[in-house]
Amino acid sequence: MALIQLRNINRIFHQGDLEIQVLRDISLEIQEGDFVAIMGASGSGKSTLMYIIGCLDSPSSGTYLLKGMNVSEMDDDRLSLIRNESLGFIFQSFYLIPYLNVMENVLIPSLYSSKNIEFKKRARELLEEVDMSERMKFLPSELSGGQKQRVAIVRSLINDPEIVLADEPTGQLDSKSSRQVMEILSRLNSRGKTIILVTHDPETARYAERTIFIKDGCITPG
Amino acid sequence: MAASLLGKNLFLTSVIKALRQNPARSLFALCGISLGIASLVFIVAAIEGSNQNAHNIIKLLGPNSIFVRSGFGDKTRVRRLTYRIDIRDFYNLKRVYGVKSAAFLLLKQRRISAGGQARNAYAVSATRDFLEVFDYELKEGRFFRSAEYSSFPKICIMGTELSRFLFGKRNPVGQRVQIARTTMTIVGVFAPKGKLPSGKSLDDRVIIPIKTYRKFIEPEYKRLFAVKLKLEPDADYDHVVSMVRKVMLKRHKKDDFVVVTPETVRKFLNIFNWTLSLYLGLASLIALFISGFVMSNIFYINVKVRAWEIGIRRALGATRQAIIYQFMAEALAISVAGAVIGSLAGFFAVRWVTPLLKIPTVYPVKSLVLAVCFSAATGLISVLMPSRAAAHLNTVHALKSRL
Repeated sequence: MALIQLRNINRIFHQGDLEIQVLRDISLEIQEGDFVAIMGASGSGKSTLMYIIGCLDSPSSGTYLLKGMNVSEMDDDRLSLIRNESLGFIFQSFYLIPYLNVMENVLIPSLYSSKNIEFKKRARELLEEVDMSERMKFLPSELSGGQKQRVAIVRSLINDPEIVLADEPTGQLDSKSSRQVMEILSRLNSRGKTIILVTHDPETARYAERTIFIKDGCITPG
Repeated sequence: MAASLLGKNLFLTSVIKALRQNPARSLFALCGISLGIASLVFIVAAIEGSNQNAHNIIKLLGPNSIFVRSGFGDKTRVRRLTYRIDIRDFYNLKRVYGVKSAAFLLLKQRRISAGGQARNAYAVSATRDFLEVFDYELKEGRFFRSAEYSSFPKICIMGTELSRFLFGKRNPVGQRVQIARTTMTIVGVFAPKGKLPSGKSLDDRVIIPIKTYRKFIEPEYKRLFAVKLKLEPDADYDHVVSMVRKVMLKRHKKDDFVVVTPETVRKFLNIFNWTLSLYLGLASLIALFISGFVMSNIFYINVKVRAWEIGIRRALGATRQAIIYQFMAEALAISVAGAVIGSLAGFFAVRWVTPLLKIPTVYPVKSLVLAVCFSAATGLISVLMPSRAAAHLNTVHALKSRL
């Protein structure tokens, strides 16, 4: 059974009387352990697709099955639990909380978790793995872009999710930092994590095993 | 267990750091709450103080007693108070059925000196029943002997405060003291009587037998400050009070005197407390309402400014309830801090303002509980709407608000 199954997903936004269809009849399957890149130009609907896969947004129609469970039928609390335990997020803007230090930022998901994990120990190990153990007490404002993104990666992994969703993770990074971040994601994939990468950059998408192209809200052959 | 402890620590850290992130906003909310709580503490202190005041008056008045003093008439300033009671009133009141003994209060401020020390203090005249009617008790020495009321002995009984000022720790009995231009011998020291509601000490005075007083202190007096009556144990109190009024009105024709009884003090206290509670309570409620309104708006701003933070927390698995808890906890932290600061400010107000209002200084410790409850309630109620708004933000829109 596929880890993620999308069937005939449509997403329509309403702006007054105007109806904007961002996703059209999207159907796709992602298996456990896949490294998938979703590519498309700005406004193609790739981020909206990622938000739906990440249970941050709901489709206007269609069915979304995550680990065989119908996400469309879940209430808000259940979706929060799914996001917390099964999904990890990495964003272009890092979204590190500015008044919390590196360690505290990494531990935020643990606040909402029911998993029995030694979070602090795991956080130390993961930070060490991304070469950030020396900066655990640093505030985000004291870090470079690459360092911030590495912290965000650790935060996405703290709850040991099956799927990591990365929305333009290298969008604000220089080429060296971009390479570091993508190597980390590749490493995670080689350990069995399912990585879904949203990007417009072919260089970044090259790290993925499979690329899905989106144009005007539809999956295209590329 | 360890995870839950870590969660609690992280939650508290997150709450405190979030408040410190926006010091101006947090401080503004804190000031509002503190002000409301300070006024609340002050009101409780003022009410308790006025209660104590009344109890002091009742205690000073003594049981089964009636105090008749000149009324304010159309003048409201005590300094300008015209003494309208005279010696004939005194004798009329003394004859009222049910009155066991009576004494009048006649006093004059004079310079009193001894051993190189001098100060102005009241010289009080004492008739035969004075010490009993005004409930004086001895600390040292003796009271006046019967014969001393009808001759002119240069003797006096001194209050403890005045004695301490003039003689320090020495026993003043047998010592000489200069009152106005007359040297008198101290024959006794009366036990401490405390302070009047106005704050004046009753122990900073000397008592002199009436004839000596008339000869050396105030030769020509016609008017009395007040008359105090002690009733027979089986006297009908209310009847005696009404007779006292009748007797006074018969001569004075108008109500230019005040009959003070424990009941009138209690009645006055009730009116005073009710008025105080109404006006100050209203002011305090308005202050708390305004501080709640301010806090609510500050948190609405917080929600707007921190929308992306709410978005990322939701993306990381926070339920709507968790978001509400986060903001509620921040409000609660401000409220508790506000309660502490407000209580301290209230206590400072009690320390400095109540003496100006002639209210005894009482620190209402029980109001601390009230302060914390009111403060927490104000904080939580006012932040309920903004935190609900935060919890119901569209996660994607919230995240994009930072872009």
